[in-house]
Amino acid sequence: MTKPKINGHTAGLVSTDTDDLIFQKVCGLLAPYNRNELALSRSTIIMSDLEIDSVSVFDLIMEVEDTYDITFPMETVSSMRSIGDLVDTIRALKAA
Amino acid sequence: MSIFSKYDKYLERLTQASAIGRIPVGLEFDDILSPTRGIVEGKEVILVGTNNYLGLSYDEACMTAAKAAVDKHGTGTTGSRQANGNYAEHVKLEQSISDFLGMASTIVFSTGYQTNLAAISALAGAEDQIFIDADSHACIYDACKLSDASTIRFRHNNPEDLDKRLARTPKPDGDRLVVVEGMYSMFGDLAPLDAFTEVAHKHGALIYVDEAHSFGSFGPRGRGLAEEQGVLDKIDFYSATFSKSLAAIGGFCSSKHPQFELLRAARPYRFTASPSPSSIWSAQAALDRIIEGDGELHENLWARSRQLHSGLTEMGFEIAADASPVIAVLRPDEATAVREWNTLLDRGVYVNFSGPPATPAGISLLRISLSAAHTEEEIDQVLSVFRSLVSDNAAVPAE
Repeated sequence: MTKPKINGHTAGLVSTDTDDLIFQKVCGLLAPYNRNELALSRSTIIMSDLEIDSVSVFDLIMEVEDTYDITFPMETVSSMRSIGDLVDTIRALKAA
Repeated sequence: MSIFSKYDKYLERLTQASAIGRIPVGLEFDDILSPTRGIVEGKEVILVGTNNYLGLSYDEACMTAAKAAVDKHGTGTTGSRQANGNYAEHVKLEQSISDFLGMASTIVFSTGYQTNLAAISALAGAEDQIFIDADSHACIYDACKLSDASTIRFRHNNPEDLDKRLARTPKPDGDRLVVVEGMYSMFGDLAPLDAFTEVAHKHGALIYVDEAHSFGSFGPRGRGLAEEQGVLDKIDFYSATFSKSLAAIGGFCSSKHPQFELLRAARPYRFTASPSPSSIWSAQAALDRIIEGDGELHENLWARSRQLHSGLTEMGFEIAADASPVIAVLRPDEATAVREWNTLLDRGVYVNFSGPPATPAGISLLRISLSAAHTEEEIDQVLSVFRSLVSDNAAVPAE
């Protein structure tokens, strides 16, 4: 995917120090949606692998926004596919 | 793989539904007899799923107006108002709505869907932000997609959550638009418009209210939930449809800002045919009924709503919200809801089956909409059929 630009930052170019922590937190937030208890990795495709619809993804994003005190515009979501994309975007938004 | 592969899951749901019985999206009425009666498979059914809140689809004045419009101006306008010009009745209806709501400007659109699509997408541009309720109607989501604005979702009917998100999000170079509805169509729950208006204006945002399901049936004069909550004069943009309480087709958006007239440049307004003469004339007649005030319509609508709500609650059914013109019976899963929808129809009652993506949180429900035209006896019959669902174990009320 093309890395989303958020507030002038390009996701993926900021320090990766907190990636694991962000990944773990995202996995926690995804737990209620992971009905088949799939093993999650950065390459897990959120909608198709977890079999969740776009409304659930938007609900998840609200949880992410509140957890990290960030704003995650809806148009940004459409360019994200995997958990890794989500982690990168959170990191970029936190750094913005 | 084909271009239709993206519909595989939808097809799977249709296939599962057809294994249970009729498919809700494929239901065909042999005939429609009145605002509350139709014929399905040769059998008369009570209609409690048509959004015909004031029951005006067979109102004598509305029908006479529609017929007169066809006699005078024919069946269609055959083009947009930009290309084919404005009919006097388009202009008159817009002025009537502005006067009724106390707004500076009103634009009539060809459908309710196009109303929000046009107004929201044309109001908010690349430099702006739109804040929408999470349970917004599809046309609001689509309008945000069509606009170049940044869109932020807030938790349903939660002014504190909106406040938090407005405070958290850096202000844009342009403006902020908060979009909410009056009565929400799926659950029949009501927005705290007074609190939303206060929060929006506190942050310097404009507020847009879609009263598609509440125009005509709420407020002392039928001017919607904004009137009922005493904030009509504070609403920046007010939209509604002609296809529910006004029993025609089309929609409108009104604003207290005179510059709203500029939105006639919106693409879903400019590049589509204007509403047909019969729709405009009957919408005007229905609006006149509301403006003149018909307390009996209003009283009966609410009496039937309370009657049905209390009856279903006593049977143990879980209802999504307090009594309102929409009563949503929550069901445990889609298969149960489709099966019960079929059984209700077999027994002479037509309701809506509603499921995702039209409903929030993947919930499946039997959605009922009341009408001022329903009689007490008809609602007793509806209750009797729901009772039979329970008693013969065709349904198990939600825990």
